[in-house]
Amino acid sequence: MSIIKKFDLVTPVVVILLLVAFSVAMSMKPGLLFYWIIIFISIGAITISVLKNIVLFKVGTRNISRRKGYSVIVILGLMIGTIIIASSLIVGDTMEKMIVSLNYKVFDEVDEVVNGREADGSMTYLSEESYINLSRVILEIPNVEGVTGEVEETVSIKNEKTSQNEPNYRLVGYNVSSKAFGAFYNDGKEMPFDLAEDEVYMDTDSAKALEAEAGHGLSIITPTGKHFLNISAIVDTEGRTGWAMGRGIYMPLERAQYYLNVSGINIIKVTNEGDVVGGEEHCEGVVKELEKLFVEGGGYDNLEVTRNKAKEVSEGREGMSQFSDMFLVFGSFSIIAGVILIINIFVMLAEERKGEMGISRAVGMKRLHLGRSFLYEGSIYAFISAVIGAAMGILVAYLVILFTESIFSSFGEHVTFSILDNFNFTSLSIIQAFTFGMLITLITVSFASKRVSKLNIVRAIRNIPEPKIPKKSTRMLIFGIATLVVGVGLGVLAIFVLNSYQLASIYVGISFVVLGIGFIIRRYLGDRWGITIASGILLIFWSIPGSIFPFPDIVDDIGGMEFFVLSGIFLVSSGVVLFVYNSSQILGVIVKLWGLTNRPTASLKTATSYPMKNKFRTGMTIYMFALIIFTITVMYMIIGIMSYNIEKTTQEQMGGLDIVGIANPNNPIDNIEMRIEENPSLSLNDFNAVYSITSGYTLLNTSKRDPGTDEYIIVPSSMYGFGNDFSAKNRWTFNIHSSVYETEREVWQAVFADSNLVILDGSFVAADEYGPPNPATQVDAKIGKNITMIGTDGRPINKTVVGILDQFIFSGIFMSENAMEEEFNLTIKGIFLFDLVDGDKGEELAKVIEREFSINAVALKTAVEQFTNIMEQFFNLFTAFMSLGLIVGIAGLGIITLRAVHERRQEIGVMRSIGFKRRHITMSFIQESAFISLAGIIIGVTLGVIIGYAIWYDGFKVLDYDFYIPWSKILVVALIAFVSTAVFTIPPSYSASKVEPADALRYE
Amino acid sequence: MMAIISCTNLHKTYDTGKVKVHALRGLDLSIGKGGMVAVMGPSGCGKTTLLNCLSGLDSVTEGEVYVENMKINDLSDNKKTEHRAMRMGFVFQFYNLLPVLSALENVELPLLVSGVRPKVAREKALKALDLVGLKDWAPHVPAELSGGERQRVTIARALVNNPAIVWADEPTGDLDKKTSNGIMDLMCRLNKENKQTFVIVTHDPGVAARAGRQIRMEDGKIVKDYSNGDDSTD
Repeated sequence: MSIIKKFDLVTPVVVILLLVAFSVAMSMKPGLLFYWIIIFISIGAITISVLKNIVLFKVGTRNISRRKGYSVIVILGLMIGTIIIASSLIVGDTMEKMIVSLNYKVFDEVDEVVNGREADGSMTYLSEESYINLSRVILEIPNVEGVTGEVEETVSIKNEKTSQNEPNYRLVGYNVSSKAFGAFYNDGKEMPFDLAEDEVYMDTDSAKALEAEAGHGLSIITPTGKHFLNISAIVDTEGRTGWAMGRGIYMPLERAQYYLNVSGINIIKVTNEGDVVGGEEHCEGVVKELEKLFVEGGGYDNLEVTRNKAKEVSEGREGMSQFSDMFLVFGSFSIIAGVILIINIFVMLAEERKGEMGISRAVGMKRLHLGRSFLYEGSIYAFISAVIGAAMGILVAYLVILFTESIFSSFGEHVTFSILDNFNFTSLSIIQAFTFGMLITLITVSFASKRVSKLNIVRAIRNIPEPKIPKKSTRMLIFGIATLVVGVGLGVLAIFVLNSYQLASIYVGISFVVLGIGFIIRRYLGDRWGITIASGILLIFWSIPGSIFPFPDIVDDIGGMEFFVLSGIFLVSSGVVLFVYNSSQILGVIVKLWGLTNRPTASLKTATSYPMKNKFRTGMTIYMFALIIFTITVMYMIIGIMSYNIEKTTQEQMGGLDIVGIANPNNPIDNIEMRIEENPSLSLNDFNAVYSITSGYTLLNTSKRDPGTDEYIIVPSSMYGFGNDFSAKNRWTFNIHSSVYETEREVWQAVFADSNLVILDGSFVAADEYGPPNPATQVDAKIGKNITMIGTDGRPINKTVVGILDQFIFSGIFMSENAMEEEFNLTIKGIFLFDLVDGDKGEELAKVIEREFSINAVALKTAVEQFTNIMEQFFNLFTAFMSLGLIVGIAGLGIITLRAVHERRQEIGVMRSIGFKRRHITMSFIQESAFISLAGIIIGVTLGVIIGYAIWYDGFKVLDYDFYIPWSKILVVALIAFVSTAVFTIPPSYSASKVEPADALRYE
Repeated sequence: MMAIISCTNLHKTYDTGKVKVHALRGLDLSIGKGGMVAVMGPSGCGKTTLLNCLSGLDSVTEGEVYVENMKINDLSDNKKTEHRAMRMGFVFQFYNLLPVLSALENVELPLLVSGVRPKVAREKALKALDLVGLKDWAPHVPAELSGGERQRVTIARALVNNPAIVWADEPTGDLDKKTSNGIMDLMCRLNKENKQTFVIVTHDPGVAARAGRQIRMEDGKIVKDYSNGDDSTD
């Protein structure tokens, strides 16, 4: 009983709750009830404790009302963590809503799509009879409401009125009796299914791109030639046209079959019972039944279920939750900064009340009572800050979404959705943020309270500093050995027991071993050396690029975002500790180098002496600053390295090409150079070279086996056939090529001359887990070895690889156009590559080419720039989000200065009496906070650059990127942080100087 | 003897918002150069307020204060501060040393702030510490010194810029009898040797007895003024 009485139950209850909540939240994604229970238990535990100690509760709460302004600042500092958690979750909610509604919009009434492809990549057509038979079977599947067979092909469409054209839009032939799949709407009004012979519907998005209106004349190019049609009405991109987000024209099936010269259908759409949302729940069962129909030998083995609403909605949700997780990971640095601020605030509160606490202890209050009084006060702060923080999180999330919307809008007219319209927050996210925000604060407060309660009565009353822990303290030795054992244990557990070679576990294990050794050394060499050696080793260890260590061969996971967070914490902790414990020596050197003389010395002396004497508080504050500046610097390093190399990469990827044109197969261009010459809007003089490339699809054997069937996996791949001029003049470079050839040109020419040779794109080399999904990731491609393609008749075609390119934009297999014709019977030149005399004219000429030849023409430089710009904006968004932590740091320093002024009033009086002018006092405080923020900034920037180098070494060097430090950006952030700190610390510093010396001396 | 400090009709009222406290009620006083004057009286009689007003640490509500022929209450804060730094030294009951600085750094601080070169300031500070017998304790921070030693550091800090006037507010208030005597011996010696003026606020009749002149205050007024004629020490 006495043990229970002595034991403060609140702290363990809260710690256990946080651990439970965190692990359950991570693994099971529980519902609202779980969080309500957690809140109920934690508040219940505190309330029971309060009821038993009502006097202590009064002491705690009256301290809140004692200095209202100060309490407001404390709450502001505490709520940052909740804001970050809430806003991250709300961003996730919004993204999820957006992706789900986007999926519903794309699928509309359709729940499953069935189609197939032939070996040459073309769509499989099902005869009328086959379709009718199949649809009968499908309709018998439980929960299937309707089936429709349609024709969908891409055609080149031109608005004859406005001359706008789209070379690859859809021509959809619909079944007029399939109303279960939605109707056509015009401004919400249902339109008839029947259309006159030469009439079509066009969706609003396509109308926008083609500047079309009802009544405009269109021309379409199909395999049967050019046809003229009229737009009957522009219909909303929803309902019947919602499928695949519009992008086309719609006409009855028979008319489409006529224009395309096809018989039968090439796409089967299935709708389940229930509405747009309700149909999704039957998908799993229906897809299972459909797949049974399409097994080999069943007569429909070329068909497969290609789209599945339930699967895509769920994958969308998954993808968007990763977005939210990324915000949480980036925000975790700010949360840590917030936790440190909480510790600092409570340590300061404790120092302020040291005297009265000493007296309280002297008159009979136990340590437990002091801790509880603090805990009750902290609980009130935690509760209020979590409530306000959760609400503020909504605002911050809204700003993030607003910013993201502006990023997406730079995609231009291709974006037909609005993230802002989908802004959404669930009660679960708010309660989750509140719970975690409150628990994190409560735990931090609990530990701070423990520290506070350990005061010596006499030292507290007489304000005597705490003695240093003796060098030969056995406690420290035991602690050192324990840390070492934990470190070894972590490593052993990770490698031998869990059999998980995760880099994070190994690094943390080694770090604990180093820390343990540091604590042990401390016993023999003293504080400074023990800590300097340990933190120095850790600093070097975490700074070295991971790929230099021999781990990667055995390590499963070479480190994701959590590793970045871990490395940030260890690096910055080591850096700050190293600085704080060697600050006197560092300052001594700086002062000597600076040659400081006369007046500034006095204020500078006090400005640096105070923080150095209060190492814990100073270290924590520097840490707050350094951690945030570190993350922002790393972000800028990544953006900087990518932006700096983008031009070089673009050049490498483009190989001197400026425009890529893709023609509709129905609208091939035989001799593009002649067409340019003939066209009055273009001049051949603007072009260095124009290449016509034959393109097609093939199936490629991989070296990986399907775990289910144990057969080799076959993947589709693009292939390109080039002519003599391309082999003679193109400027693409090789990552590697056969040593048989001395020059890269010889490789091209050899492949042109020999149909058995091929060249592969760069993704066959760089394919790793970071790369985009690509067939190359599964193909064992080596110079001099064969790859096996499958011909249209199913026979294997072996080709020898003689080179792998640097570029990977055009992914696939490159061979001579003769080989394409001989082996695959492909002769149509569908891809056009333009090398311009003036690369800056790319955008302008691409528009002309698109307009004049009805082909899709993309200016590569503009596309790359747009991509870089969007990527940069996303990084900026994350940087802005992380800057929330900077606010913690700046506000924290403001609070600390305010507190320092208060704490040192009498000393200010002494300084004033011995000759410090007002400005000396102001300067002394400003210099003090500047010293702290500058130390944090320098440590953060230095370590950020070091980790930036490691990231470059591990991730970018392989891409042949140059290392680059974006100093201007980093310095701007550093300057903003520094100036903001000064701005926040000027008011309290100025108020310090306003204190009358006599008043200050009288102050107790 | 020429007056180094004088005041006429000196009033000081503290306005706390709710009540007004009249700490000084029309004082007239003149202190000769090189003297040692003890100000005595019960708690709350205005001794420290008088010292603060005369030294320029506090503003006056009414009246005039002259220090070395300068009307101190007309000076700007900066001028007053400069004058304090160059011409005055302060000794407080609770030493009021800056805890984060060593004894030597505490002593050199007034010199540095008044623009003396760091090297010169260090030499003078060491000399001042030597004068109070604490040269060997120069690198120690206040927490490592005894009460008497801390007060001697305070005296060294007060004397380091060779001030004309040393203001001491209960300099022995926190010390035992023996240490208190030692501190008074030191101050009397310095007063005699350097001819510096000492104004000492004290409760201790023994300390006051060592001064050449004793002023007794009650309720913000001077009620008795014992002088041996030239304000000098015994």
